[in-house]
Amino acid sequence: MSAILKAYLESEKEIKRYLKRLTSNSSSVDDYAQEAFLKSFAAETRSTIKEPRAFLFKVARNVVFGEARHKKTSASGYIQDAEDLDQMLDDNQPSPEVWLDGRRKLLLFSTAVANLPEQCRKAFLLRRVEGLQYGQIADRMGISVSMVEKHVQRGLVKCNAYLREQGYDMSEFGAATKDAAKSSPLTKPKPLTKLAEQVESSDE
Amino acid sequence: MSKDNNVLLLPSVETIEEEASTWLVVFGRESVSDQEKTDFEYWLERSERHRIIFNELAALWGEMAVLKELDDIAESSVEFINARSPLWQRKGFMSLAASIFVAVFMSGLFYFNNGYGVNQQASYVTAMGEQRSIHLSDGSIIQLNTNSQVDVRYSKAVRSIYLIQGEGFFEVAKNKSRPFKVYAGEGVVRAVGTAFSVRLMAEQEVEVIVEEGRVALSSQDLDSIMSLIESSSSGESQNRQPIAELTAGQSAVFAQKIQTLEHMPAIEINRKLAWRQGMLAYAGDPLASVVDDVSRYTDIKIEITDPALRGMQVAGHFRVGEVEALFDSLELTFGLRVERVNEGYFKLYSAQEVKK
Repeated sequence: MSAILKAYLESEKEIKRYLKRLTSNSSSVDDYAQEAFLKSFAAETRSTIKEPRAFLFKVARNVVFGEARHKKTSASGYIQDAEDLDQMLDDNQPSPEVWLDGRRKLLLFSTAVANLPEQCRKAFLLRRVEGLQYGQIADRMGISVSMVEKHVQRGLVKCNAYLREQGYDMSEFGAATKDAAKSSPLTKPKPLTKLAEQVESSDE
Repeated sequence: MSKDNNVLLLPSVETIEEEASTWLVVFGRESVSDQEKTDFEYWLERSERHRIIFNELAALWGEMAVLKELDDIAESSVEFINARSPLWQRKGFMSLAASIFVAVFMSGLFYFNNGYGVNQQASYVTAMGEQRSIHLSDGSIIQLNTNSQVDVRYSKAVRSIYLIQGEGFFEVAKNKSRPFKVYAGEGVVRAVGTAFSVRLMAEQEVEVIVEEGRVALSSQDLDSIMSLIESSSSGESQNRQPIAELTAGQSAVFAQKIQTLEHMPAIEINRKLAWRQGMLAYAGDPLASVVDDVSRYTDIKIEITDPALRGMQVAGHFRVGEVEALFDSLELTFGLRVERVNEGYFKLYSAQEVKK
């Protein structure tokens, strides 16, 4: 399991208590916490994080402050600004619903991947996120190409098993891309805590 | 007789998943042999369950493309609290700080926008059928088409983009002192502030369409471009003399020299670049080239059985990835017959042709 996921599971309550002190809007504490996990995990895909717990707290703090800044600078401005709105449509930007849905999917898959053993996770992410060829991954990790392929294969099977345990039917995913906002099975996702409890039990 | 003969027993779901995921890994290799393809087809035919499980895992693998966003998230928000050495201890920071000071003094926001990362380097990839817009630190935007890869290398002096595969549309933020160069195959497309598309085609030929402004085309041999890519420099190389200059409304195909150069009316440009809105548009293109083009966005294999059909002119407007809509229109409007051999393989017949 990734060090960030482990630290998150161990200190989730404290992180939320900390967030509650930082924000006036206590209903968004869960969202902030999830966002902090996601950002920390994203950082972990790039480099080793020495003090995962402290890191999570720092990121959580940034999430709240970043949100506040974003609200101040843009939220009031851009909705009225017709030109910006046009540009958003032109740019093929996803609607807020679709974006949220994508975020949930990202959170779910990230948890699944964070749950993989380290070498397996590394190989899987280099392949799926960075798009590297197996040979390049082998060079980078200093292992054989066939080992890389094995890691990617195991990673996919394990993520699939994890998602099935969570009750997500993969055949529904096809439909999710067509009309993500309405028909996605992820519109009402389980909170990360729920996922996390099962991660712990299935980690053995 | 022998009841414990397990020939008729289906393998367990776990076994099939194991095999299905192994096939997906095989198809991720740089090349797949014909033998492997045949073996896979046999494997897939073994039972309905094989097919379903393979499709499920393939769909999951496809959906997991959202994980690429982790890269953007890592880049945009966590960089500054990264657990590396403090900024001021990093090599070159003092000289950088000095230049930031001067630059801020002179031009306000420009260097601030770039943060500390005057040197920026990142790689972006899209899967088959996927499209993505990338907002770069200087305000330029790349729209990356299906199955494509770009490496972005920004330095103080030059903005270099390596189109490793596929196609991109570039909207370049104006900055005369910091040229924007797209390297693709043997071609180099240089711009200052403009909007154009670059596509790396088979045989390493490069197609350029200019929508706005002007660009200069030049060539380099592949070896020197490859070594630039590998050296991870931003590529301020000795550029050859431009071999052509294109202005808005022109398109060219080139490599070491210009192969075609033509004027393209705006309506034609919009049509060719409709993929930016997730659409594919054709106006009297030969069926063979339409099929080739559609195939860039999907794993489905489409075969035209009758050579006479290849030149048939086709027109229409389709959403990227909606191959079914194309088939419907070919059947209804153009009188073809579409045979579904299996999930991933379709054959096109003329209506009169009798299937053998």
